[in-house]
Amino acid sequence: MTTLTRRSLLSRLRNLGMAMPFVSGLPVVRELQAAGAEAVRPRRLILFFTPNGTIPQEFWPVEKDGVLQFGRILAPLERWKTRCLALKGISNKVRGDGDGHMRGMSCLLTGIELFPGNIQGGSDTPAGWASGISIDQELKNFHQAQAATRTRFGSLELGVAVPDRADPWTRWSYAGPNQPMTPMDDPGQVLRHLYGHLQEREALGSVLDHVSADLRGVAGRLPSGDRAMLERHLTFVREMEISLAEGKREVLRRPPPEFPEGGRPGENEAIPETMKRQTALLVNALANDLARVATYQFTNSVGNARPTWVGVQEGHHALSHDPDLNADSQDKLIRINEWLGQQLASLVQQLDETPDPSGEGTLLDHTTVIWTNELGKGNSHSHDNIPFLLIGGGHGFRMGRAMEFQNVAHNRLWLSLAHASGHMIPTFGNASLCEGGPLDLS
Amino acid sequence: MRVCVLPWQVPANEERAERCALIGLGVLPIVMQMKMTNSMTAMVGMLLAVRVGAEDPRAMLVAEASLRHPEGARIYGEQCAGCHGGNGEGVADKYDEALYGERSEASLRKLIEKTMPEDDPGKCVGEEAGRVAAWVYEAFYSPQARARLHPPRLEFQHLLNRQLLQSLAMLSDGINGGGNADGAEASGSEAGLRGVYYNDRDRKEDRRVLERTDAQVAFAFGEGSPAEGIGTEAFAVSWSGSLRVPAGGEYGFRVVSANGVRLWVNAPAEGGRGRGPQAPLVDGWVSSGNEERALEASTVLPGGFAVPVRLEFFKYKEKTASVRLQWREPHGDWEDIPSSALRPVKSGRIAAVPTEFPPDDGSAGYLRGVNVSRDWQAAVADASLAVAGDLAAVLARRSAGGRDAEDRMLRELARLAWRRPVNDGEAGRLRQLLESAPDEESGWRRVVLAVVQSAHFLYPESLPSDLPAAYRAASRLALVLWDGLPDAALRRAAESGQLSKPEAVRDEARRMLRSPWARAKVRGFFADWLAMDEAGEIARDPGVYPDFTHGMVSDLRKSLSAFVDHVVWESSGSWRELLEADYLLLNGPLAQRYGAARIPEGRQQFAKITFPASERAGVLTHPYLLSAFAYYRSTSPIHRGVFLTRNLLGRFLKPPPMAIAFMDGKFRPELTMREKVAELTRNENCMACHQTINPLGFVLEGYDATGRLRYVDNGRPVRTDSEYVTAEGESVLLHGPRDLARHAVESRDAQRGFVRQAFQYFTGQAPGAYGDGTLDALHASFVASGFSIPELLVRIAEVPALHALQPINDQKP
Repeated sequence: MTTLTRRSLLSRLRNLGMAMPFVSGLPVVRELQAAGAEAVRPRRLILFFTPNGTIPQEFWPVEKDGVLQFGRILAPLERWKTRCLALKGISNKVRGDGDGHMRGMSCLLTGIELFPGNIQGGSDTPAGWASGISIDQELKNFHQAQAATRTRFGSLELGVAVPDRADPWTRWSYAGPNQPMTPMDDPGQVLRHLYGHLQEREALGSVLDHVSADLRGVAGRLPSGDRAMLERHLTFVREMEISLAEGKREVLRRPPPEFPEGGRPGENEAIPETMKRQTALLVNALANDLARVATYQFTNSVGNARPTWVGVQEGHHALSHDPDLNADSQDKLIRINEWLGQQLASLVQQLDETPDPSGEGTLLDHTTVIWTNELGKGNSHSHDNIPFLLIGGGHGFRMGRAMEFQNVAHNRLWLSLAHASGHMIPTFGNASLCEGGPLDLS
Repeated sequence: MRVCVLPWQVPANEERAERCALIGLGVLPIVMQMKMTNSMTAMVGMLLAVRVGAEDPRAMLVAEASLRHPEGARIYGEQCAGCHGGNGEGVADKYDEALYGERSEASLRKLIEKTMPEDDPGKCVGEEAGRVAAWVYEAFYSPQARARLHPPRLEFQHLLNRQLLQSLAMLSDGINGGGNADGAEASGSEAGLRGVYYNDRDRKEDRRVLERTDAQVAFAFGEGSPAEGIGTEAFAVSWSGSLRVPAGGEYGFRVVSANGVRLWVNAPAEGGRGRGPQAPLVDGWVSSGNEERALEASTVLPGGFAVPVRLEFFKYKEKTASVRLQWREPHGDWEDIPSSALRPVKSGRIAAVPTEFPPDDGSAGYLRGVNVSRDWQAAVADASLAVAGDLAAVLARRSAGGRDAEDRMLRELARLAWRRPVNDGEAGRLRQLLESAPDEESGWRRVVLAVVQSAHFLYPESLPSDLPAAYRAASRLALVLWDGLPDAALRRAAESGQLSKPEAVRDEARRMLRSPWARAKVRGFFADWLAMDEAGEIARDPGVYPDFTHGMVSDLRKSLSAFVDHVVWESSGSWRELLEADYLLLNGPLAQRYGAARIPEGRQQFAKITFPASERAGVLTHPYLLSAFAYYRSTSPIHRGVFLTRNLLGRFLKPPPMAIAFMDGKFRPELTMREKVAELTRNENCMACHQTINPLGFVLEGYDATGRLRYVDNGRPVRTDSEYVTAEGESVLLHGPRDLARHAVESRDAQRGFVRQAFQYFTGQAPGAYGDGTLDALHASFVASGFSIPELLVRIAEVPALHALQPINDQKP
């Protein structure tokens, strides 16, 4: 991993002298602007995960006189309700090895069974990784295969407080069978991933004065023949200095957000701050068109964050097992989900305020955010009625509605998303779960 | 203008002093410049002094030769200069190659008689040819003349790539407290990894059943239990310890398992499980359908160090269990990591920089750090970023506790990297950098970037002139013997000032030779001397050699390295044994293939196996080299001969005047390889070198293209006898490899050639740069020591270590 990063950095450094300004290095924008029109409408996608099921009565909106009515959990999204589409009656019907949480997570975006394996859940048989690619990676590959939609990274896998272990509960994005994608849950790490070369340039630039001074000092003591080599060295250092200074002037459409390094992003108490930073970075990356697809994962399946910042001391997962009649637990779970709704609203708001790199409208006009979960309901571990809330104008769906399906497989939703992206695959995941084809969301 | 004629007969090394004295007296040194054109030949021998620059050794030398051989100079001017140039420098479009080489004067004379002038051979013969030969020989042709025409000087150099990487690794070791190399040797510590076994899938203390050292990780537990007290359904093992890295480079790692595995190699102490530097190198924690899979990854590791390794394994309800830990060394093949590379003791992470550098300058026949390019500078910047990323956090942690702690750490870092104490001004400037950054860690990152990219680090000879000599000695010893930085013991020796005495320097060098870093460098030298990497991938036509697989080539390479290691460090240490040994170190498959009397067990053990003395003679007949210098289907006496001429006998060969491809199909089908080569090179131009090359190559015709003995070539008996003419013009009859080995060990040229090549590899300088007598003195001590290689290395290291000053400044008055 490190090797690749360093090598690619090396090649960038070597090309510093000839490097194009950062912005013009993004092919899509250049082409679009050259055409003077939007040849291909950008179809951005953010898949937002929160765990342990939802509280149905406070989540599912109802439509009244053609207007959505939100409960407590979606209340933070009130401003954007004409741009929301709630899809009820969609189920994760993938069966096979693995407990409900494992399948809930690792089959959520893949729509296909887990391999048999050695990971034992709280029930059922042990299992391994998903046996197929996830929809985000499928669409990433689709975008990256075409010059017009290709971006530097293609996709981003972000997380908040994802435990430091790789198993079917902590991974939902898959590059292919047995190939889970590791989410980045440290904002510093994301920043390095997105803009590491800029940071390293800055650090490098800050010491080149020193380097030059040492070279001059030593050169001064040498006979002329030997001095020539150091003078050549000095020239290259100066050239690097100039090119770094030019690099600084490169205009990103949106400069990277700034925050101090360090902190302990994995710790429970740091979650709100981490979430804020990750959201800012995600929006920033999209604004600079570094990727077209992103997954954004809050903790993990069975995630047990203790949201003390909303006055809840217990762990999220532990609470989710309590029966509906436990009013206190219900209220706490609602408060947790309310807070998660606020986080989503903050993301949506930033997307809504940020101009789209295509030059037309805002990011939200060209992005679909999908909020989902590994379970429909925590205490029943049900894979039915999984929450799917779509927000934004990325895929031309008709928004401002609450649709209800009759227990259809979620594979069909991913098929709709693929088709709306221009990717006309006949099935996705387990083909037998695609019967009926894409859901009509128009 | 006063005219002064220099005393021509003074020996070369006194001559310079003489000239200096003259300059000191304000006397214009006047020498003759003989432009040997026709119109000027009459002037030869007359003391018509032409004023030339005092520093022009060429004019001095030519004039000197002309005074001794006026007739030769005249004839050369008339008959030769038109094509060869006045001073043998060549003439464009006529004969543009400069005249120099290692023929004796007598041999030159024969050549002239036979071939010169080109349009009328036979015109210049007898006495006349003898005089021309004498003049040409002394004026510019002979190695001595050439050395004086192009006197070697000490070159100010930057670190070679391998030195840069080694120094960064040692810097990282130093910052982490040092002592890694000692740990790597871990005296007497048993081989293998510490295995802790648990009777459950989790590694909980209360389920811990067994702790033992496993020589290797290569287990097929099947459906059973790994040990008593452990069930068959669920168990876990954690293996840990350190991995001894024999040579720097990119290593492949592979875990083959049907179960859950995670592998960390050279990870920071707290190896985590997620992403980033602490992430496992191989993560196969989740099994897939109980299928055995081979999970691979690679990483760059520093040579001569021990790096931490940890492998975690668990089985849960899968039918079977298995786990193997394998590696692929640079140039090697996949194999289970041998127990000899594993130690059950802990060690710390060593920064390893994966940067690719542009190749070092090899134009002088050995690597020198004299080429600063844009690519190199960018690579240095990249490497410094990598090492800064690695060290910043450690430095920040170790310097916590206020300004004093920071200052100590700053000085410690710069002292390690710059091989000397730093002054207050330098420390102050680094402190400014530390404080210029928004936080501690990025401050330290900047400091490391500045320290590592500094001329003080990159140019090891940039030590201040007022530095006590002992520091200079320590710095040079570390570079010569380790390619790296002084370790704690060497720094102490420098501080105490003892390193200014020859005995102390030698003792220190002897200590240093015992370190794995020295072993790694010595291995590098022999790979260079034996041109082990020159041939690239060795592949044979499977139609002709069906059993000569890639794995066998990699085993042969190991066999050769093991042989050299054995001779140098375990057996006599003598260069003669390298050439004359009648044994090879072979593993089972190699012993089988090469007709050994005894077949050792397995593939990983290389045992000493003796052959009849007529069959094998040290490195000369090692199957790896015989294979490396051969064609896809057949032997190549030319490649073998060139290798023997240059590397083994230390003789000089010019590049071939024209490139001729050997095309097997072009010869009459009944010819043997020997006959084909003789026919291909029979042209007089070719024979200038091939009369040396061919006889040496022919001696090895008794080995096929894979180094196996053979008695028949193309249906006819193989001839291995040949007549070889030495540089002194003496004819030697060789009847086979053993004769060649005997000739080589007794040949002064071969002995000196080895000393010279070792000197150049270890110091990066020509021996003559340290004075004319350097090579002679080293050669004499090499002979006196019974050709001891370790002792030679001590003596080589001593030369730069005790050398007085910075590179000689010829230009300054």
